[in-house]
Amino acid sequence: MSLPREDREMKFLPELYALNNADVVVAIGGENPDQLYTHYQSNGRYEIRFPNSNQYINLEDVFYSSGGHFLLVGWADRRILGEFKLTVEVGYVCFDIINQDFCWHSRPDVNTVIGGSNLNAGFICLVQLSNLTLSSRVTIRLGALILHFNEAARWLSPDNFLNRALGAACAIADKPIGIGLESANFLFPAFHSIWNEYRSSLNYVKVFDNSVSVSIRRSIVIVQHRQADFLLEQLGELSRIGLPDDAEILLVGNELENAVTLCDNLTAYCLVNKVNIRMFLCSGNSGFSAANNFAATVALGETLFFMNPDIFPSPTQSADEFKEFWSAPLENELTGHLLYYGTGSIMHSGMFATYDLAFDPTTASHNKALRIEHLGKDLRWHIEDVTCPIKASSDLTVGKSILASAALWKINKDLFVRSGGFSTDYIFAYYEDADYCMRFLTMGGRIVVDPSSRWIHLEGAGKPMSSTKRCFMWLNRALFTQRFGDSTLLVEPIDSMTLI
Amino acid sequence: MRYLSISLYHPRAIKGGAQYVAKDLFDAADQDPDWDAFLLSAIGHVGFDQYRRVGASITLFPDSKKEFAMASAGFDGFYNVTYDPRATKALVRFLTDTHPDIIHLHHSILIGLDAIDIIRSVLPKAKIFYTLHEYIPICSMNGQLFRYSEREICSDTSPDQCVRCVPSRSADDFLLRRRRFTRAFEKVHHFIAPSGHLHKRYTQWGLPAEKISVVPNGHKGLRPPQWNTTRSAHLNIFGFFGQFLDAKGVDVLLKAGIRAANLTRETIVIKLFGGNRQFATEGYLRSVAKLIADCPDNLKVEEYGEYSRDNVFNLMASVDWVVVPSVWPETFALVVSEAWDAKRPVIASSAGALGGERIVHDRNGMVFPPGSVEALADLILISLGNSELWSKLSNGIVDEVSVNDAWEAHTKLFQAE
Repeated sequence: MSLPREDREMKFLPELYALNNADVVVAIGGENPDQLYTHYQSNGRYEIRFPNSNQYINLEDVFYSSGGHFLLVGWADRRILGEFKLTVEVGYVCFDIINQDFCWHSRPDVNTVIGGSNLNAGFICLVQLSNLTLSSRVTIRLGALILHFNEAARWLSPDNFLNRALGAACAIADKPIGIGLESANFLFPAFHSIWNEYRSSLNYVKVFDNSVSVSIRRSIVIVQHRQADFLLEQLGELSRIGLPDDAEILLVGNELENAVTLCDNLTAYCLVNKVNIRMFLCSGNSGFSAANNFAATVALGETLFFMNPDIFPSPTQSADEFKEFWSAPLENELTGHLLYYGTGSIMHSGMFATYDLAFDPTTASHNKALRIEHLGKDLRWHIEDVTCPIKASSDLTVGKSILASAALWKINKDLFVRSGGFSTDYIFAYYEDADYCMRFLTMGGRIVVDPSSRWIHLEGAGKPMSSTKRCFMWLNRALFTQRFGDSTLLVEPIDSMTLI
Repeated sequence: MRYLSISLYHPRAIKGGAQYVAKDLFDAADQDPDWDAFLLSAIGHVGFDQYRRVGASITLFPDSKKEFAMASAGFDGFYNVTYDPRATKALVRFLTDTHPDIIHLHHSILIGLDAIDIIRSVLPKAKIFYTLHEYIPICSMNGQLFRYSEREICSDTSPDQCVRCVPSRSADDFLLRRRRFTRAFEKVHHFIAPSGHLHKRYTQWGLPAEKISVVPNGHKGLRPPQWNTTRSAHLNIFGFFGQFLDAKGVDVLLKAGIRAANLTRETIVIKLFGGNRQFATEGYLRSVAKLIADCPDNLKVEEYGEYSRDNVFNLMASVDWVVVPSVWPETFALVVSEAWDAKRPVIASSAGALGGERIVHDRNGMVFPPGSVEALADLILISLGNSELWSKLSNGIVDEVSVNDAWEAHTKLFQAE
């Protein structure tokens, strides 16, 4: 009969340790078993001094920025490696990446190979070394094991690094939110730091100005990102429904391509359309929040109309029917609008915030993950219907205030600025409008949805969403959850099941 | 009254049906003492250097005082807009100076739908007419309404179906494209469709039926007075006249010719007149070349290349039968008018305005289903040496309306607005 396992004696093998680690023998000046054991206990076991250690860790992707950011993607069998550290050597300096820097996540593919483990094997490390002197040579090692060696290092610009890092982290973002939420919370501060650093380096310059009216009372803010494919069509449609003489269109371009051509196009457009248009270009991609906030600071109108570049007025409504949209007086409310798909079916008539229960049995985590739902989606209301869906949706918010999508907002400029504008903490875009609405309501503001006009929102349906975008949406969701997880404005999940 | 015809290209720059019609109507107007006429032909920003002047967007054609070339840059082939500031400035001034009462557009390509906005802005009292020569507003695939992947005529032009032909675009893109055309067309006072088929398709697309009048394209006949109709002794010469594009169906004619030749000992001659091979797909040209190489001995295929309107009458007279095997829905088919001028019976596919509308089976020609090699082969065999049939069909031909008649029909529409 064999003994229980815990009763068996475990012995250190000094001869084998000395045989495999000649440098240790040299360092301690001999093969004294006690000294060898002491070295093993204090250093060796953490330095991964065993044969074939490269079978237990792999760096799959490594890149770095001129701002000293490093991103490491890979996997490790933590049962073998324990709490290890990686050493990053840049030229003639080095620093360590320690256990607290690792965001661990499940890698079923790795688990299959290593024999199964209840410890997550995948990792992403996103760290920054301030004041780093760039060098051509970068080495990353685990003890003596070299995991990455580059003698002609390419240092990405911070924005390139940010986009690539977001793409790399998408592997976690694509997991169910229960598994990914903790990772998002872990990674958000590092991403946020790069985002802030990058965003603060940007500036805006005015590149087009066709001001034909002296007195401006309304500013229509349209933020373009990269391509302004729809802009001339949008302007044409706005002209069709009749822009008020005292309105200006304020364009802000983030990373806008073909800006020179676009200015030419606007010049031609303005020759036959007496419209006040100003356009500002950002030196990079400042994101939806910062670009709209900037527009608010330069807007001449006392009323702001925030309008996405893919918003178009209903083709069946006449100019008269849009008069109220332009001219209805505002007090202290934020006004949203009825949005429809290109096919004419309802997209939504307002939003509300609810939450999922995000859980991960492997880490025993159990949290809320907030989610924005849209009233009216899935319904058969059509843009040409006489009956307006807005009353029904308002009634269905079970006593909670409705939120409005910033795809199309109308708000008093002073009120918008006084209430802090959009939060620029959200990376690039998404959740900033819900964030604003939640803060606005908490401060006593009122949100209404104006049923007088109907709009088509061509939100890029059918186009695949990039991994970068999926990732920053995931990170932004985590931030939104952190901020409003305890809000009384949340609709309980059970109630949300009857809201449509 | 002042009349401005705006065309895509000019026959002197590049030959094509729509520009011929625009130029003919301009010529007719120019000769009409009641009218002061101008022609403005868009040439884009590439090629035709002989008409360009540095820094100028609108220049006069040589040897003319009223025909102008308009060079604009940045034409967007999807939305059909230009928004070229220099060209816009020039057009505004051109319109102000010429001050036409009637502005007649013949296309959107290179002209740009923004030109309609400019016209309305500069000349709010001018009446805008638009001839629907093709299906560009409905179909972004060269306005052909032909699904190349499925090799069939497109009957469902919903945006989600358009994505099948242009997968790089989203359905929303096509919605917007339609809105762009619709918005521009709301500023057009009246449309002219050369065929009832065009009227039908555009009405289905959404234009009000009462805003479209059917006026056939006028034809400048070249038949000499007292001309005696001639034909070959064997009535075995079949002619194709047109552009060498995939949708024109030369391959259908060749396959039918091969099939017919394999079923008879008679000699069959197919004469191919046409150019613009550069616009055909490589695969199509390869398949046509292979068909020609594989012809049986009793099928002789003769290629003659491009032809012009000036010599088309003689070329038409050199064949017995004119075959129009188009697989796309032809909007009018000028080649039919040219064949009729030479009293040639037309054997046409029933696509678009051809079968049933222009070609009435067994009266002025014969009709077969688009793309049907078997049916066309049968008609070739029926036609071979059939002098009775030839005479019956030739005698059944009624001349196309003249350019002057067409101009008169147009002036009636202008005055009605």
